[in-house]
Amino acid sequence: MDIPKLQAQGVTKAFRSGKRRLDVLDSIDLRVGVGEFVTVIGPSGCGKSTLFNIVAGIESPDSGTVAIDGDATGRRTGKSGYMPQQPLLLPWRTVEENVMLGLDVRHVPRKEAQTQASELLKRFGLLEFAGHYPATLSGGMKQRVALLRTVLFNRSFLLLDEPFGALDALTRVTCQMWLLDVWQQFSSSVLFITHDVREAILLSDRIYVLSARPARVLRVVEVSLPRPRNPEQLAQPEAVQLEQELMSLLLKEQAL
Amino acid sequence: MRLRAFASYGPAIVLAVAILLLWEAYVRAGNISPQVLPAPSAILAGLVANWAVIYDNMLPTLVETVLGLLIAIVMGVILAILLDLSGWVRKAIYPLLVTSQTIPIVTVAALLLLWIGYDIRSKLILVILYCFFPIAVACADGLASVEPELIHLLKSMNASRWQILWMVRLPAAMPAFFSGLRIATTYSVIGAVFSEYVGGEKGLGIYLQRATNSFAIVQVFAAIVVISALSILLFGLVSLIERLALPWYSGRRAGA
Amino acid sequence: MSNRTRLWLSIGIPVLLVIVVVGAFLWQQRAAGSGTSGTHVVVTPAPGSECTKIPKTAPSQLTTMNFALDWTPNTNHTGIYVALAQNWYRDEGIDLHLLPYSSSVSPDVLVSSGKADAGVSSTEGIVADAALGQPVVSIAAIIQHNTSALVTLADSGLNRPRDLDGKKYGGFGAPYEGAVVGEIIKKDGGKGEFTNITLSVDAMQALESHRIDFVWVFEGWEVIQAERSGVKLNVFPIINYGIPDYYTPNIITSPTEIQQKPDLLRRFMLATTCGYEYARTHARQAAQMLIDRANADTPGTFPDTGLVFASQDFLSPRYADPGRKWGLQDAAAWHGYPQFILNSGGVLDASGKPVHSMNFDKLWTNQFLP
Repeated sequence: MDIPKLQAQGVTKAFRSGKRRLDVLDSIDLRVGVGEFVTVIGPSGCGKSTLFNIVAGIESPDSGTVAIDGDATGRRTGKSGYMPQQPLLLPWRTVEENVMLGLDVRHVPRKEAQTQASELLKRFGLLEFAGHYPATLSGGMKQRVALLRTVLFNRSFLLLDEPFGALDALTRVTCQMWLLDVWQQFSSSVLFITHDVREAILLSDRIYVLSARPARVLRVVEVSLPRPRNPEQLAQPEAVQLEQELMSLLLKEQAL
Repeated sequence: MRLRAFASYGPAIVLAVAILLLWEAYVRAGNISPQVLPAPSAILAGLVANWAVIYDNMLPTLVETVLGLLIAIVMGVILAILLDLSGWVRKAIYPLLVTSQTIPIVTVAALLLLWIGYDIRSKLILVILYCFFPIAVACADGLASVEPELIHLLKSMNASRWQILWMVRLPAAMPAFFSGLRIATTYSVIGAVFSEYVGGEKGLGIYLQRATNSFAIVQVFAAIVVISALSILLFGLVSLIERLALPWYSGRRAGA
Repeated sequence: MSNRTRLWLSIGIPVLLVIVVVGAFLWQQRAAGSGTSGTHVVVTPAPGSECTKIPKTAPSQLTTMNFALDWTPNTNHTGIYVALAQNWYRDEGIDLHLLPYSSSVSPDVLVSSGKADAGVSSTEGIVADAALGQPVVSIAAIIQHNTSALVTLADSGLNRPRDLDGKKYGGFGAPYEGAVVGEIIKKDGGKGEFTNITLSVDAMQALESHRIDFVWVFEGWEVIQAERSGVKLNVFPIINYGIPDYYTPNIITSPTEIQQKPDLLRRFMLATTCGYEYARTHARQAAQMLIDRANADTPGTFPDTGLVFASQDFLSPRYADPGRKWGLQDAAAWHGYPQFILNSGGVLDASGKPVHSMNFDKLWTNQFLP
């Protein structure tokens, strides 16, 4: 069996402040195969972002292992393309310079980084905005630029934390399709967070459902809809049934 | 665009002219002795007549101001970075910083005179003492207020501490820095003038003192006009540089 | 414009500004150094006086000497500026540096701490220094008789000191001031009660604004200026109203200096005395030397040269009594007024307790006068 892109086993995490202790993650097992699109859904505040931070290497688990490309012991920072909820574009950099950010951190020479960035922008139809400042962009645009920044830094493993949550419904659909396009072109492995069940079904190969805090894995579901995906598939019976199942599971957890 | 910029100063100019006219009329009507408050026309005449001497005295003060300000900027930023470095450094240094601003100038001036003497160094030290503080505090606050999410993003890219400081935190702190700089600049010229009371041969403060002791009230006011003009020019220069350095920020501020 | 360009410009423009300003300053320094100020009048000291003892040429080795001024240059300092202009200090082997006036540090402190070899102070200052344990010694009286006066505006109706009862006084905040002013009023038959306000603004301005009723000024400066600008005053010289005559200003030095460099002090005083002796009889020329020399150090020192000439005309004959040499001090002046201010309880020692007696004769000497 090939080495999965990401293998997390028994990941547990608690936050302590003074005497209080907040258990966030309770022995999470998670796997993302190479080229797979995996989504994590769960009720609000269940610790999905904490899980992400651990995978990205920003935080360490209290117990359990996290292995990227089979390596559980080295540092994890820099091995994934991490995209938090806010696009976090640097206002003093143009769109092109923002996309280059990851390469700048890696000390890639300026000219080279610029070429790569503008190629990417061109490929995904955003070249005309290359010289604009983020302040002039719409929400959807910013998310797309942030995604390109993430991809340019590390196209093989993407961590995306609710990137489309703040967008209106129409923009969201456009961005989702666009993401699938990017994923396909680069054959990335993706770990995606959302609490929109339909989005999860539309995009993923597998879905992990987490419980309320402290989070455990409640269910792992395979989405067998054929690729390439499109929004109409969500109306099909299997999709609808899956959606209802997941929704009721989540609603139960949400109430707790 | 330039025309619009001028137009925005219109009301200020109209108000200033109105005040000057009222002032002139007030003095001419004999309401106040010209020994206490000369008319604007007399001040202007005095300024023109004594320009060579005033220019001669203006240069040392200007040197103290701009050199002092430049050093204060460097010191202020470095101090802000130090304060930001660790909480305990901050706790140790911050109270000392605040205290440094409460020492009466007379005491410091006396010590400086005895330790250093009458040359420009003692004046530079005083200018730096009074200008670095607003810059350091504003910059430190700016550094502290960077979104933690942004820091996480950079950490996920495996950026070093210095990279984070240079690429994200310092640029993010620039608007706050400029706000502190504007305050320091407004005070810098008058600070240089006061610092000359330590004792010296040349400078607008010295000139002011001698004119006062010779009852030459017109010259006193002429010197004050020059001091104000220099302060305004410096302030304008700082605003210009801010607009140059932070086009995305000042554009937003001006537009709003 | 890229971020890089922006960064360079934002740093470059201020740095450029600093370079331009510093450059202009240095250029001006060089220009000032090479220029000469005014016409140089060479004065021949009067024959038969000690001033002929001053060598005609300067020795190759000069000793540096620092002299601290008590105020911005004025007609009290004329003798020194004359001696400077005539190079008499140089001829005596002294490279004299006039330390500029500092509002935060008095010449007394500079002299006691050794930063200055000598300076200008007043009898009050000297007494206060001795009380604080930082004694200085007066080695010459610049003006032979006290020229202080209380003044009121002529149209105020306050025509004599006893009219000042219950009025507002604008003073300089010295602790014995109240006692001195009170004594003046009492001597004229008044009760000696008045409101004592410490001013930080110019005394004459305060008076002319009608917010203050009377102030303490010097006849040689503020009173002259008032005459010139047409402000009519009632002038009450303090020594006419029961205040013992005392010297102000004085040339001071420290006891250490006296011990270690008596020869330097002697040579300094020779040149200085000649300067004042010249100024006694040549008011106009001496004033011109004062103006030229002070303006050379700081352009614009005397915005109103007319005031300087008028003040000099007043002061020159008063530097010394006719027939007497300049600078001599008498014991009486050192016992009367100093004891008076001690009695007022206004002179404090270092721990804040009033001093009631001291050995006044330690505070002055004529030994360095030629």
